[in-house]
This record gives sequence, C-alpha cells and structure tokens, in this order.
Amino acid sequence: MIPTITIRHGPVPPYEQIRAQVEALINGGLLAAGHRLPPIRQLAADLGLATGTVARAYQELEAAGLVTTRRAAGTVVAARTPDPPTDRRGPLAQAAHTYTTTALTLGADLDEALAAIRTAWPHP
Amino acid sequence: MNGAAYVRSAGVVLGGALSFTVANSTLIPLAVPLFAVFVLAGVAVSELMSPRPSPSGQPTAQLTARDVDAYLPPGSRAQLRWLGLALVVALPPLAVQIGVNPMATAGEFHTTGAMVRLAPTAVVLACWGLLARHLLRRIAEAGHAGLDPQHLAADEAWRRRASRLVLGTTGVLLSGTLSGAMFYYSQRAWLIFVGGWGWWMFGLLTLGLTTFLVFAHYLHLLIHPGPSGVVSAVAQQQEPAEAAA
Repeated sequence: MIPTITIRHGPVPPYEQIRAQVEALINGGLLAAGHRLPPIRQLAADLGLATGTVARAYQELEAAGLVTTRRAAGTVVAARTPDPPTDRRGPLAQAAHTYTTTALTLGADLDEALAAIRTAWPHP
Repeated sequence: MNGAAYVRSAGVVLGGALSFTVANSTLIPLAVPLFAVFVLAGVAVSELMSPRPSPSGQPTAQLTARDVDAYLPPGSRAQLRWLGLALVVALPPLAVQIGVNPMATAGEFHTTGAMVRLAPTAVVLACWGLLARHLLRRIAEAGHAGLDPQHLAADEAWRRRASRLVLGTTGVLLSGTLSGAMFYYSQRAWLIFVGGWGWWMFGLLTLGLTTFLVFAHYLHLLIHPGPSGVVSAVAQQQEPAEAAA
C-alpha cells in the first residue's frame, strides 16, 4: 500500500498541508527510512500545484531532519536516531513521583507499586 | 498496425530513402540530419494522433517516485549507451574512409574535412540524445490520470508506450546511422575496387548486418511501442456515479 496525500481547500496553505501529512506518515512509520519521495516536479504535477510550493514543503521537512536531499538519490526519508536517555530522565522522574504519591495515598508498599507497573507494562 | 504506426513507418522509410539518396551526392553531410528530421516528424505527427489519459485534477498523490526504468525493457538504457559508444568509436574512421578521394595516393587521408562533414550528424544526434533524456524524465514526472485501478492502469500503459517510443526513436537514429554508414562504405569500397576487398568487405558487411538487426529491433519498438492507455468508456461513466454515492 503506497501512502497518499491530499490537498484540501482551506486556510492552511498547501505547502503546510504537504509538510504536515508527510511528517505524520514518517512519524507513524508508514514511510520508512530510505523511502524515496517523489521528485518535486512529479508531486507538483500530481497535486496540480506549483513546483515552488512542493519545494518549500520539502525544504521544511529537510530542515526538521525528516528527509535528506541528494542530487543522485533525490529526496529520501532520513534515518531516525532514538532520543538519548537523558531526555527521558526528567519526564520519567516526574511521572514516578506522581505515581508514588498515588500509591502511598492508597496505602500500597513498594512491592505492590512495582507489581502494578509490571502488570501494566506491555509484554512483547 | 494503426494510423499512427503507419505515420511513424512512413517517416522511417522516407527518411531512410532520402538519406541514402543524399549520401550519394555532394550533400552527404545532410544525410543523417534529414533522416532524423523525417523520423522525428513521423513520431511527432503520430503522437498528435494518439490519445493519452487526461490529468485527473484530483489533488491527491502517491508518495512514491516514479522511475522511468520501470516502463522500459530491462537494461535498455544501458544498451543505448553501448550503441552510442559504438557510434562514437566507429563513425569518425568511417567518415574519414568515406571521404577518401579514390584518385588520391594510397593512405592519404583528410581528417579535418571528414570531421567537418560529420559535424551536422554529431550535432543532431547529440541534441536528440539530450532531448530524449529530458523527455524520459518528463514522462515519468507527468501528472497522473487518477488513482483508481482503471486510471492507474491507463496511466502506466501511456507512460510505458511513450517511454518505449522515445527509446525506439533513439535506437533507430543511432543504429540507422551506424548501419547506414557501414553499408554506404561497403558499397563505395565495392565500386572503387570493382569487386570488393575480400575479407575486409566480408567483415564490414557482417558488422553492417549486425547493426541492421539492432536497427530492426528498435524499428519494431518504434512502430509497436504498446497500447496508448485510454480509460474505457465504461470506467469513465462509473466515475460520476461513484462520486455521487
């Protein structure tokens, strides 16, 4: 199944619609790393838009690090690197603090709280 | 064969006949350009006669790059490059040999004059090569006819036919020039030496016939590039009903 995008009439400019839809498809895993996006002229002809509109959307996607453009390969979806652990540490500590407060309020001990987490944790 | 195929065939036949006639006159530098003009005119007129799926107008697109190689026989672009290389290697010595004055001292060549006579051929073939490359890119990048199965099939049929037509035209021009030059040279050698050159003549005619087979292959592609890819009337009638539903 090849992902498609659609441009709708409305207040959102077409380049922003293209950018947002491609970004959502990449983040949703429907466009894998290395997938070659259509050339600017092809996408513009298919959507009935000016080439500059599509070029601007591609530039913004490239600036966001979602795609890379090379002369020979064209525009391809960039490989995503996982977020470093330090980025997760803060939000995790905050969520743990909230959960600990809730567990203590309910009168649970540490083993019970951890058992609840193990139960809720998704199994492969 | 349909009307468009007859027009393309007529372009090749008239261009070939005129080219060989001109080659036996003082206008020999114009032989290949005239052949190219007739072949390209035939292709252009036939394209005006052939239908193509109209753009859908739907603002929806598939997020995948269309590759022109998908519409061509496997390895065909590489084969054309080899054919072009063979032409670049073989044509200058042939032009020098063809330009030799039969009354001149044996081994006396006028390379500059032969290269000047070859210039129109080189310019025409190089220009068409660049144009063909551009056309193949444009065929792949042209807007789609629609995303439903019938339109997708018609769209692909049109792209396949158009790209094969460009391939066939390029092949006919390159191989036609090469085989024409070899046959012309062998004919000239036979006339000058009254009876031919034995093994040299045999080798030259073998190469000439080989390139003629290549020419025949591309001529078949030029005349029969495939169906033009029109959406049937039934499919077009279904569309408004589906949209209303």
